[in-house]
Amino acid sequence: MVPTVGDSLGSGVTLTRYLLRRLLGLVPTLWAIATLTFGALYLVPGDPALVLLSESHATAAEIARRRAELGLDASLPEQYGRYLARIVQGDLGTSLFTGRPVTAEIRQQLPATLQLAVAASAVAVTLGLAMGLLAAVNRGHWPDAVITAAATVGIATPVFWSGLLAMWLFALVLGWLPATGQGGLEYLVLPAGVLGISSAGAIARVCRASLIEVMDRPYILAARARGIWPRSLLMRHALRVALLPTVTVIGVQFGFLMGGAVVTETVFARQGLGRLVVEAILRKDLPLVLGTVLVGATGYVLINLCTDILYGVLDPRVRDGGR
Amino acid sequence: MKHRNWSSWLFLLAVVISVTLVGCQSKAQPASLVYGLTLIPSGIDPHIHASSELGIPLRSVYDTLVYLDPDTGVFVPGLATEWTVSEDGRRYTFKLRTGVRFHDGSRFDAQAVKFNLERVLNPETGSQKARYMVGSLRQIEVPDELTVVLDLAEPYAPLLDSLSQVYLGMASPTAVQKWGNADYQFHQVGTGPYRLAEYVPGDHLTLTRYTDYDWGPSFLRAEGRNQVGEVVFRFYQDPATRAVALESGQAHVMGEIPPQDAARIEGRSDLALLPVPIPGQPLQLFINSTRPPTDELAVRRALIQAVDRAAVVQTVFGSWSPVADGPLTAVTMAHLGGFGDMYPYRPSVAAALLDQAGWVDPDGDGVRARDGRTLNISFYYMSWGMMPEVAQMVENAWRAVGFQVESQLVAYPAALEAARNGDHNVIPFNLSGTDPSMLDSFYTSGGGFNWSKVSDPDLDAWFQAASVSTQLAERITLYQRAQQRIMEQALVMPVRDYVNLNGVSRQMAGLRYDAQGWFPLLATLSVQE
Repeated sequence: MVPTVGDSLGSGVTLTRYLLRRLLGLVPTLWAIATLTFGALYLVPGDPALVLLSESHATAAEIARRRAELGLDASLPEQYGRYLARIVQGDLGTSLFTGRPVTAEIRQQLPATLQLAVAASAVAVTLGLAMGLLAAVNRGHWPDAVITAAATVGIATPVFWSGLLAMWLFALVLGWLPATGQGGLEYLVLPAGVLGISSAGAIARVCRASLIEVMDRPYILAARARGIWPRSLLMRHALRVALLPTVTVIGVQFGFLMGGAVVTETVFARQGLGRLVVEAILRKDLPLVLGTVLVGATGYVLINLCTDILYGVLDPRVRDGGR
Repeated sequence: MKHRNWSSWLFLLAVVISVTLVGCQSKAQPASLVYGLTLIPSGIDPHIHASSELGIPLRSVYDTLVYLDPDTGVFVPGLATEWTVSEDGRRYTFKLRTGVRFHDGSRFDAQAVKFNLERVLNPETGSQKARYMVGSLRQIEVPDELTVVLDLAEPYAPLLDSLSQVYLGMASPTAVQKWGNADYQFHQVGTGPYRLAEYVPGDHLTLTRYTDYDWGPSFLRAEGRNQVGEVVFRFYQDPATRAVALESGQAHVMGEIPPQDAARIEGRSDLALLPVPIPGQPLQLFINSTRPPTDELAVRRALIQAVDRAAVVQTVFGSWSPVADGPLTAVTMAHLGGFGDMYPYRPSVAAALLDQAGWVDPDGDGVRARDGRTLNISFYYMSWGMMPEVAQMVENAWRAVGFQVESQLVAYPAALEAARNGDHNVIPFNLSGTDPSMLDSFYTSGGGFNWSKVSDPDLDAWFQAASVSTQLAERITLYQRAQQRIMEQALVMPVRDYVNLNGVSRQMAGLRYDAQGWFPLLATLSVQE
């Protein structure tokens, strides 16, 4: 995926240059995201001024006046230009509905979403790797069949359904955990578990497939023939190689988890970026949607950059090449 | 093989450990009352924001100049002890209560009233609702410390009703000035029975009792022991989780329980169901009187008579909601009913109306047509308030008498836009409120929400007259005349009177709601011994 990293990892200067190049490469990506989001939002019918006053007794004339006050009567290119000029200065604007800066709104909701995404990732990675490992080691036997089936069920089950089931079982029937809300660690167990499990399936599959592929390689077979004990063989030789594709999947899955957080936050009545952006879309709060999407996209792009770098670090060919 | 045993045991161990860990987190007894809200308002400053949800907690934070007594429907003193309205209806003089202090210790007086109303009027405040509730209020005079005079360019009959609502609640000028318009919502200070302790958007809002409070009307006076000292509001947007939160003991009061969960709540010994009828408009389908084919009265009438509304309401909303009878719900002032007789469920009558208008189905394909045009209805609806369920049944009924229905489930902004542009033949909506003047913006030609696209000089004149009249009886007559016209013209198909199904823990006693129906009177709430 990034062969250049492999060649250059030994030298600090080239790594810095590589990182700079990658970070600069983010600029057109983010511009594209900003523009696409802007376009999509403005293509969808709806007048924020009308939504804003939909619970008032405003007359048609008063609604038109509010629209002008919000600067929404300007032409599309003009609004786009103003928007770009603003984000270049690092100003995400002011929410049409709350009247507060978009950055303040995001700062308020981001920690809860990060907490959920990180916890869910931990569940997904731990569970996914464990399941993949177990399945690969027991290839063709019952644990493999059970795990493969479970992974498929995990991938196929939508969070809004498994979330309700988990809530019913652990909060209503057993009474072990709070059903909804946030607070201490006990509030995180159900949402992070449900979200993590849904993502663990994908990780388990990739981990299993790549482990099996590695274990069939001649050098592993040769090692086994020389009588090396399976566990150390697995840990020392096979697992590291098999982790490579898995790391890529984990990076992608983090994006999936951020997306899943939208649903999970709603089901478990947690605060967070997901609910913020959904609400903003439903109200057509243009600056808030644009700002949140931009921040989310930046996060996702950065995570994938990190995975790419990690990939280079983990690749044994890279390490050997560096010496 | 050895390794297989080892790994299987590890797997089992992991399962056991995780289950044990989970089991250790036992449920703690709640220290305060948890009240479930159903949507996250974009903001909660009542002077600025419009959500009815914000009033659920904040009705208890603010006092208003007057209150609408939920038992008698009469305006009673609040922060104003008495008031007079000039003969021409343009000057309101309020005498204010002495000894009232805001939660921050500052004094409530006439200057505070002036400050609050001027804040609402100021375009920079960006009010989404309050600004449109005060008619043509142009000046606030303060002849002395305890007298306020409101001067209007034109009489505005709903003013007292507006002044009784939380959107015109009296906030501490000190606090508003300290925090500014954007951040005041997190630090709101009123004179009501509860103070706002904390607000974390999307997570919770906490109220604590204001122990000095002793100036409210009788229905806000706390009596007896075991009063609730703290109320924590949490947000339960997903209807499916509301009953779960209540049943698991996480929440003690929950609004808008879905009808399919209501019977189960009602059947439990630890919970009670408290249905509260909401004044205002019912859930109703506005019928566009300018877009073909609903520009024809016969077609509009056929739409109404083709639908078994009682069956729709029973199926979708259960037995708790009355079938709507007219453009206002039965518990609203000036409500006029009897339209069940005007438009009984008669598919045969609907078919005959269409036949007479020339909409026939000679080719027998089930769809009527005239002059080569099919009888096509463009039906927009939104995803909330059980609208999709209602839409499905209504559509089937229309198809049965020969309509072709093109329905679209759209997001709220798109629905509002379509309705404004008149892209619809039919679109649902409802708005709650105590004063029938809410009908103005829906049925006058310049109304912001004139979705029937009606332009009837009589309706315009009646609404205008009702809005400036100082005689209650006259206003009621005018609004009833308007309702009669609206229904004769079949501008709307009323579906269901809104009833808020609240689930309440039986640990709580004395839960009541104000005249608006949405807002709990938390002051009288207590914990059962």
